[in-house]
Amino acid sequence: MTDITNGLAELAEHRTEAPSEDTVATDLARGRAARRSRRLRRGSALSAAVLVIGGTAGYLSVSGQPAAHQGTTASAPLKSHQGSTTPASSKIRLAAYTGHQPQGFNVASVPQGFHLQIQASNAGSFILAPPGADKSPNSFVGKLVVTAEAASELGHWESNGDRSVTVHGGQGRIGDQKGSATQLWFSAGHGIVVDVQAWDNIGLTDQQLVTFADGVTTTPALQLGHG
Amino acid sequence: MRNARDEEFKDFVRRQRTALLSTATVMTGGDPHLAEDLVQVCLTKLYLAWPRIRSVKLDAYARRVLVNALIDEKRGLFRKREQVWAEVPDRPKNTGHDGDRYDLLGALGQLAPGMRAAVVLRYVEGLNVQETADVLRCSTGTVKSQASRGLARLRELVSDPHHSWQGDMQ
Repeated sequence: MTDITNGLAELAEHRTEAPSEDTVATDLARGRAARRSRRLRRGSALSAAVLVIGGTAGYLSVSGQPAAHQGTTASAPLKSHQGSTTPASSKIRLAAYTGHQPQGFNVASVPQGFHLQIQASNAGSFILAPPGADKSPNSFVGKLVVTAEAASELGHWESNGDRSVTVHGGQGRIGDQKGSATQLWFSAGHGIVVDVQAWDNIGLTDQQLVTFADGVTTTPALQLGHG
Repeated sequence: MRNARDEEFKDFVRRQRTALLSTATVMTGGDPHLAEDLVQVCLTKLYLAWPRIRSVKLDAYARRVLVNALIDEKRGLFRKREQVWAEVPDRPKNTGHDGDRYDLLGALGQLAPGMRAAVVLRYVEGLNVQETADVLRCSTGTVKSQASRGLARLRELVSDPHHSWQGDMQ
């Protein structure tokens, strides 16, 4: 090769085809997983310390009674889930929550038997899980994940998902992550958006997810995560 | 599911992934598997930082993250020691244009990551000295010296037919 710079310039000509939509979706999924893992990893050390000190006191308990939020309804009719991964009928019921509240939030009801598994150290996220669930903070299968975010970070979150609901008297949005989870966003006021992710195998209907979200409020102790 | 942040990110991936993979392939000395790893690391870091970088020059930022991923990967000594070869792997006969490309990619793989990044950004990606300095977060003088020394080293490697290409076997 007589001219190194020409040879280097020619290397740039060897481009491959555009990425497939599967590749794009995989990149997105990897980013989303890393984002959630980072938030929860920040809290896992603190959570472990709390559990050691408090024994089982850190776990939430549920009464087993139906949730008190019977008046919580979506103002707009929800879709009938044709083609949706969310079951049309409930496999599980919500129960009034009587245990220790996660820092930064108040929770009124949870799926029966679920307990607080991980509280992020930034008091902006927590996970509810059933007994025997994977204890890894990086696994969201079969769990409910609640995260508060700054609306400015989410961009135009009002266009998220594909279904409108009413939560806390304001706008909420629901959408399906194909084959895995249902996600609900609602405004908690003061520029805060709460993101609830429910894994599909929990069996919550959209209506139950709205009821759960209606029972989730933020407190002044909330600290928003970033990134 | 529609999500503004996600949609922006996906648009970026559709537009830039191919270019990033191409750059990464050259930066790794023609290792497509390592290049894919670096691009995945790069895109994941971009997604995590998206709220604060969506308004900056994303292409330049992405290149910077890619270079950092390359340098970080090379610092992972234990990772590089994972592969053990029982025999010297076969190498294709280098002939014609493809042979030159193969030689050049192999030679690039012998350069130190920082020097390699300067050469690739300047002479493969076609960035000017200032743009390269911005990506590498160094002075223009450093870019000039690194690129110059890198070219000189490449000429030595490519012109030496007896070079062992140890880097290809590590």
